[in-house]
Amino acid sequence: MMKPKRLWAMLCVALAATGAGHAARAETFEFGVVAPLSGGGADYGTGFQNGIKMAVAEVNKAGGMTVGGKRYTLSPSFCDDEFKPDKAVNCGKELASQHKVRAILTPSSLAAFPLMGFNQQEGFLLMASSQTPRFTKAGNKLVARITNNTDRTMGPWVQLLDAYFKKTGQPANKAALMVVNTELGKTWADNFAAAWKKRPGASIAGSASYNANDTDFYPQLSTLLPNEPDAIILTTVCQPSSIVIKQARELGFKGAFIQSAACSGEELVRLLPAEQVNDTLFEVGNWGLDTLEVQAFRRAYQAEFGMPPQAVSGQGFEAVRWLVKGVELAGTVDDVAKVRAAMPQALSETKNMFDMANLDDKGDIDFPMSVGVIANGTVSVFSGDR
Amino acid sequence: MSPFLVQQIANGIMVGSIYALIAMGVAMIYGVMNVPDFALGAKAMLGGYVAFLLTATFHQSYGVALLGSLVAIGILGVGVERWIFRPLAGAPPINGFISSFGLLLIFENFALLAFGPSYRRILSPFDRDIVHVLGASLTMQRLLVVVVAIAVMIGLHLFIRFTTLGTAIRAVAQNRRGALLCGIHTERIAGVTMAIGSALAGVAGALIGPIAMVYPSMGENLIVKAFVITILGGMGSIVGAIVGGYLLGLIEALGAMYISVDYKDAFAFAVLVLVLTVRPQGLFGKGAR
Repeated sequence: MMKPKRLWAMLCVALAATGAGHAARAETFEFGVVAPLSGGGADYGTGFQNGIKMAVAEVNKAGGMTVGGKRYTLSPSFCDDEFKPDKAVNCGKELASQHKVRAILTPSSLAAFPLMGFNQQEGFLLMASSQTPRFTKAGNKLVARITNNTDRTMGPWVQLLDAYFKKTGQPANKAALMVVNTELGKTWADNFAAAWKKRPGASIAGSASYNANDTDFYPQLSTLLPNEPDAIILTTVCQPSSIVIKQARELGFKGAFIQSAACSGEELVRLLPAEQVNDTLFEVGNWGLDTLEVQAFRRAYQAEFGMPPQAVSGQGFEAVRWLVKGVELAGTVDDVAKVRAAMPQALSETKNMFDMANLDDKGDIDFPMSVGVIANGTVSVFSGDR
Repeated sequence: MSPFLVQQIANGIMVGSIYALIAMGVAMIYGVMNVPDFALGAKAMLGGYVAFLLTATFHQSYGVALLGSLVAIGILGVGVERWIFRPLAGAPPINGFISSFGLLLIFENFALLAFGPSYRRILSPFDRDIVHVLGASLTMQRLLVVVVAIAVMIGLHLFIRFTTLGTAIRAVAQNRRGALLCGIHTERIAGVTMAIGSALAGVAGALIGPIAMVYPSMGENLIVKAFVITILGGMGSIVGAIVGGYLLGLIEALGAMYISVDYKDAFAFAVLVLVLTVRPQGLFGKGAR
């Protein structure tokens, strides 16, 4: 048994520590961000992270969050998942068990799905920019999408593509799929293929898979191009997509590219010369409409970070604003079920640049999509007859 | 011959050249120093970054960048031999094995800290023009990879066969003690070998950079394949490394075309298992060392 003096000293230190801990917790609200900050998704993840930082700075500058009469400063904890599911799990576990976060934001399905495996047990709300339908079909009660559900939006979007092709008169029958090796990639490609084939005369002329971290696509392209596709379908973030486009053009491909929402077209314009990237169509939310809100966000982001934002930056930004509103309405920083219950109301009270609305029980939201067009080195939006 | 087959073969030869260069480095270093250098992939990555810096920041020509990466990583190799592997000379071989892993991690994280995670493009004047050979489209850069790799292989062969230093290297690889007895300064030979092996990796990184871009983890896939090739070709055999490199490049390309592009990376290991089952010392190996 230790000397009494020593024991007292230790007890005092322990009490002081918990006391200090409590005081700190009363002042900050911590939430987690799991995103790729290195590897093939680095640009994408950093864009998301920066959007979040902007929102956090804005909220904190205005005095922070007010919950139950107390002021809280927002304190995000960022963790690099390297665009790998196993690293995403490590990040999630660390954030949940050591930082005890009640919410985690992530920009991709790649992290969202592993995190969904334990978010209910660990008690954190998972907000993800995941288009994969399964995100809201697994019965998870603590999820909220911050993007579209490809099951809901693919049909109308391909019809819009069809209207575009009719307008330009370009051949658009055979599509070759470059399917990224993720659940989203496969689901998006399957949904796309199903909707594409509904168009009269349309078919899928081959499919090849690749990893988001790959950089040489000659093997895949060499198997797809012999089928003479009119369009090559791209299913992941901008960095690998830009390489596919470059290499397809090198191999003599003269058709169109159709890019999923994982990459916003303006990034592609930044990464590639006009003659390579022209004739690319991409899936884009209201970001592409370049409303006054979007323009204001762009200016602020550019001033803060010295580079233009991507759509996913805007999504990170709005996700934080939405979450803050949800926690404030719920009146608690700990009871995650109450926060989740307040999220639908919070969304309707959070005017956002994507016109996100109507969070349902499963976690889906309305997220209107348009067709972005890259032509003559510039980006525009095709909204059909709207 | 179908132009698509030609395209795949051309792909395979280009990729095979890069694999062969790094595998040659592994083989040389293993042959002389009995250490499997796992950090060679990371050295290729550093060579890529040296080329990137020379072209993007210092506005040098691509030719200078190639030379610069060769010299810089060669010097790095000398340093690594002098301060990491030489002190481990008397220790069990596993120590060298583990330190090369440690170097791999250090190099990768250094690159991540110094350059950030984004992929960097090396601008090469050869990346713009496209030639058509038998129906296949090749950028000049891809042709250059093959040409430079073959030039290096020939140069190395001439060096090893016809110079005194090259003969000394062969002697140490065959029998270290015997070489010592003949008055060969084995430590200096180790330094030269590391320099050459590392330089090979460095130039490989600079060659593939304009095509596959430069990023901190680019060495990982390269070193795994290089090791498969070295084992396939026979540990310590340079000819085995070259043959194995091109063989693997072609197997991957043709496998992608005829079997499945999704399993492209697995073919290496499938072939390895097959070959080792029939010939455990590898294609050109001389039996267990």
